[in-house]
Amino acid sequence: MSLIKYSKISVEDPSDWSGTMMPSVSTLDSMLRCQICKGFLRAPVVTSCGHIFCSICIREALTTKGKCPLCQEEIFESGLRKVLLLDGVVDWFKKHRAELFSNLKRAEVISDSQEESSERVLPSEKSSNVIDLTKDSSFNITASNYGKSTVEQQTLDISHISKQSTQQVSTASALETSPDADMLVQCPVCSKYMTIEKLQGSHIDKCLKGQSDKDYKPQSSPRKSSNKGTGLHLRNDFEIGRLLHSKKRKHENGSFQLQPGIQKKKQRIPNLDVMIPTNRLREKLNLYGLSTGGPRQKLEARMKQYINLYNANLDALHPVDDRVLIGRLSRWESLVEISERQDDKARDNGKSNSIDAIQNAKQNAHSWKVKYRSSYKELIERAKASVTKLSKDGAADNNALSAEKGGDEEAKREA
Amino acid sequence: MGSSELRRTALKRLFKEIRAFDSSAGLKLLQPVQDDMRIIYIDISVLDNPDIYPKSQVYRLLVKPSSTYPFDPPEVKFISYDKFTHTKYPIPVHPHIYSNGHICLNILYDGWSPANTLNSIGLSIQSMLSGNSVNSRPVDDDEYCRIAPSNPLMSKWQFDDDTV
Repeated sequence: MSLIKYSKISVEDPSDWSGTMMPSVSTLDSMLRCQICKGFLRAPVVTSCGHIFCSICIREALTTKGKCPLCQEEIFESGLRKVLLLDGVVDWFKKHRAELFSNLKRAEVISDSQEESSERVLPSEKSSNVIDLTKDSSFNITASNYGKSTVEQQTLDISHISKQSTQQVSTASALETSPDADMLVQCPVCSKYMTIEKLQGSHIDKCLKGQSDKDYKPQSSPRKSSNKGTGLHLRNDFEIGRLLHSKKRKHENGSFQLQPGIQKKKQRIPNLDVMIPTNRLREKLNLYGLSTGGPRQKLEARMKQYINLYNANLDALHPVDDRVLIGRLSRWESLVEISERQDDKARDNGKSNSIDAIQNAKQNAHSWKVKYRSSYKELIERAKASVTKLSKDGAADNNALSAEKGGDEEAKREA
Repeated sequence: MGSSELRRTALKRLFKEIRAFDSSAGLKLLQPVQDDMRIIYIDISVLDNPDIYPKSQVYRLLVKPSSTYPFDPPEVKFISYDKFTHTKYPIPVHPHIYSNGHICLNILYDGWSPANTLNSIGLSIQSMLSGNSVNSRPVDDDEYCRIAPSNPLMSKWQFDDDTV
């Protein structure tokens, strides 16, 4: 039984960029990813040792083990701080990745020179693949895939091609998004874009109840609305420069670092005190609108995961409603239940599942027999002797027999 | 298979890892069952230690991610028999590798970090073999193999030797 359709999982990866005119984008791509989930950073937080992960990933990792996954330094959940600017940067990159990709994808034209240049990658660069685990491993790998010489070659190619061809570009105009369009959020239920006030006010209730929101006029997504802009003819390298420049402008006026106002009112949920009595724990779950069913262990796990989800949500640039979190929590819980059930099943079947295990067991039993053959024989002889003795002497010797039996067992154990 | 259903995080990550796996310099990733991420093979060959490990020799490493991957370590061991292709493989001789294929390497157990990947596991074990100069099994090999559970994660490991 597979819960997730494989085809639904996006397999976008930093290596996608290797075939484009600017393979070095893969470095940026991999830097914007979380080292735990390998996806783009969601609500990034920085640890006290300076490493950045998705808020939810590092919180879950810290529930298991209180160390930084990258440098093994002891860190605490209370020391995590959100990085709103980076959230904005990742958001921008995610939104424009496809566009950037299609604009840079010119693999056929330059494939010859690319092959040539990749052969020129120095062996010393290859050997840097042997990873020091304390470092950012995947980054090393991707970076070394495209040696310096490749990159230089590619840059030349860009200027070469862009002289020949100009392209109609909608990307540049995408940056002229009005500031309020940036504040639009996607409804997690119907995937429409709207202002957060609208979403949290009345829309989400209707959506969750399954009613269509009739008085709501759909606003186009931030990206769509901006596509209406004038089509500009831009050279590729110029376009990239402009993209970067506009990003810088946004950064300067700080709109990437603003969370919605309601966010400031919300307080973090403190970590769960494991000594909390069960009835208090139930009250607490009830307070957040969570289910209070199940054994103590389940309640604890549920509360812990909700605290993780809730606190991680506070780190997001565009946080979602608590009800969405509760939905995520129940999905998480159903998956945990399935895997637990399967674990139990596996345990019931014992080791019979694994061929290796059977072979091991067989071998073990055999070698055991060979090793202790003489002891077994001796024990059997003694048992036989005592049985004959019993039938001869009758009930009188019962006590003696049981004593001898005990002795036999001891001998067996020693063997 | 005995492994449990992988969670979404685990699946997503494994997908990306398999795509990004750097199958060069003696490492090769294989999926014996298509689209099944619960059993992964990594073929390791050691290229720079011909005294102990012949260059052409391939060792097959079994990696079984748990449902909580990458927060918990996957089950990792060398296998002597591939039940899918019915091929036999040798277990590399190393003072930290038992003859049942179990590997005494802290990053696979206590020292696991969610930032480790299939690629980094392969590379660590490969470099462990490359740097080895002792052509023998662990001292307690017989004893351990007699009592060892099939899953090395169930054993209690002590990491007392940092020299090899």
